[in-house]
Amino acid sequence: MLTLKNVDVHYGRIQAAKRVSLHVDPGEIVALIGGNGAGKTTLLCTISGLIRPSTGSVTFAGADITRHSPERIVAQGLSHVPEGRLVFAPLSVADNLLLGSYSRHKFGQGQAIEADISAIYDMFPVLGERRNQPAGTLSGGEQQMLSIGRALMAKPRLLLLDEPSMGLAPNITRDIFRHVVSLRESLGLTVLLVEQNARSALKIADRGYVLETGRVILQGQAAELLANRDVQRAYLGRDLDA
Amino acid sequence: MIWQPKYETMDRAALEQLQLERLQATLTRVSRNVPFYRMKFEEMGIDPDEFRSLEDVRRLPFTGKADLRDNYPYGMFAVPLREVVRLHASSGTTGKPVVGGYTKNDIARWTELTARVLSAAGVTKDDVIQITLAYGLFTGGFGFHYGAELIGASVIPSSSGNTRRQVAIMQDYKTTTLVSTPSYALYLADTMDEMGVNANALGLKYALCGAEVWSEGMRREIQDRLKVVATDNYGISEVMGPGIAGECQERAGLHLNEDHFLVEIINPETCAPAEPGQVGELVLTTLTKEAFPLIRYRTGDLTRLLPGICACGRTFMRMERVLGRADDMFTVKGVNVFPSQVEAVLCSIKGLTPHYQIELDREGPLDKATVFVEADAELLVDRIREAQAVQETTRKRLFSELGVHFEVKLMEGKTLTRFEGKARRVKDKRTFSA
Repeated sequence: MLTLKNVDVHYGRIQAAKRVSLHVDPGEIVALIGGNGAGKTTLLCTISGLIRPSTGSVTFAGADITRHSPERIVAQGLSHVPEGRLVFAPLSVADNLLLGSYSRHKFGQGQAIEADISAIYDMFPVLGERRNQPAGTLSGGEQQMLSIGRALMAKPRLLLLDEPSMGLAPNITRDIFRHVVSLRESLGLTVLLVEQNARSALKIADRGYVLETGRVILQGQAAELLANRDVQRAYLGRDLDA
Repeated sequence: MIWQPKYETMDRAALEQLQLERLQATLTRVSRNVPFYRMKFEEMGIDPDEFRSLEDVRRLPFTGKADLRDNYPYGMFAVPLREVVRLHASSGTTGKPVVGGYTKNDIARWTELTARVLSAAGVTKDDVIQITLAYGLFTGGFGFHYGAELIGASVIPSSSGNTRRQVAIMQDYKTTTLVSTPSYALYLADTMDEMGVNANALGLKYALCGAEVWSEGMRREIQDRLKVVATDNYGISEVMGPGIAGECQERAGLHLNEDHFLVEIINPETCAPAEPGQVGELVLTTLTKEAFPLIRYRTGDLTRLLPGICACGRTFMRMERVLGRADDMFTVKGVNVFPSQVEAVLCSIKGLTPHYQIELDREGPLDKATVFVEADAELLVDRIREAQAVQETTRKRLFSELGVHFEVKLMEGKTLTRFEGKARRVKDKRTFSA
């Protein structure tokens, strides 16, 4: 569904991604794990068109989207849930969701969009309870749900999720990850998940890629990565020599 | 049955993407973790970050058996020893053996791959599988063992040797699948004859034969005498063991597990890529191994890639049965000959068996090659004139097929040495002093 081939990304003279190749098949949850500064967020931004790669190609559903604008990429069915949620704090929950459907706004779409918003409330009841509250007053977990809900309003086929667990309590993180799995089940969504919380991510993922200093150093089935000692030592916080 | 259809029937573009991803990750890891490769890459000015296509692999250095011996025992490992859960070693007939290590993940993948090969040969969870390959440092026994267990078959780890007991086990335990070398399969058939065991009365259905070079004629004999479907499979201890490639029941070439191994065929003399469809040396790059990754390992095995898609539905490329080892090839009067070629001729002649030995000697300054081959008993005893005709035909056929003269000696049945491990067909008695 999504294929990256030899993607290089530069920030000025610094190379943030080095010939990264990866793929996501329809219906998969794929985790991209790695430490700080490994290039995970850079890659997501490259996929969603916010950053242009210096070389390499990004293909989505058979079309080369490497040079497409972000809004066009969203319209093609690829939504990005950014790191740190980035909800519009002064706007109400309902307005945040409405903004998520921006790319679909056309005359006569009003009812469909209303229906989708209530579907999001069904999925995340807490958002329904707080629909008129400014998004900035929500808790971290609720904001994360709102951010995911907002992305879903664009009717994506592939969801890019950047660090959904960031700054959240472990039980809230579990909750968010449960939602991610159920998104696949209920909506048939495909998910590319970036996480520093490697263990939780690999537990719900089918496959994973491990990034280090902009390069993929390992890839494979999620279970294999969980069993890999390098991954355990570097990202799962296990001191194996003790 | 196709064990992992998701991979084994992948379309080419998806497979190549997967191979590229895995190759790039492998290169990054070997250049970081294996001093041998790091130094070699530095010497050759190779930046592993620059590898952007599968064709780029041709710029990488080869790895040879000598490199593995120089780094004996653990020098080529890409992980610390404490992450290695299993060690195997190659036979080491010449010099030091080669030690191969496996992490937990390597073992799990190896198991999947031998399960693929076994499934392709017909094995299911209903089968009773007798593994007569050696259990021990050799990869054969253990490699198949775990794959068969994963499928859910009932495994009899009878290991090698004690042939009469093997036959008794086959009879009593109702073995349906035999895993052995081809020469041992025939030895078992001989032993059954001696013991008066009728193959028809056994439950045998399949024989997976590998670990040595064999011919279509030998396959026919194994199939006829043991009443089985005999398939070929390929493995090499240095790279992993069995599970690298295996035939399906179409018996039309060995499917290479390309999602785990990148395959090249090179001209063994020039090291240039062989023309498509040409015979050359098989070169393997591991794409998923953690403990003991290898870049462009020269297997020494000669084969060629077969064009087209197999009727079984698997999309992986197929290789022809191994035609010989680059190093068991022998030269008679300047002509390169593989024992398998001799065997093919012998098998095509009525009255001869595939039990043979080649002796190389000198007659004055000239090479002299003799083939000792066992012939049917009645031919030798009752029909001497006919036997002479067979001998003459064999001599002529060998010359016309191989372009070199062989003396042919017909032997009585069971007079030549039988091999329980790998058959050593060629005895070279030539001395090269003046």
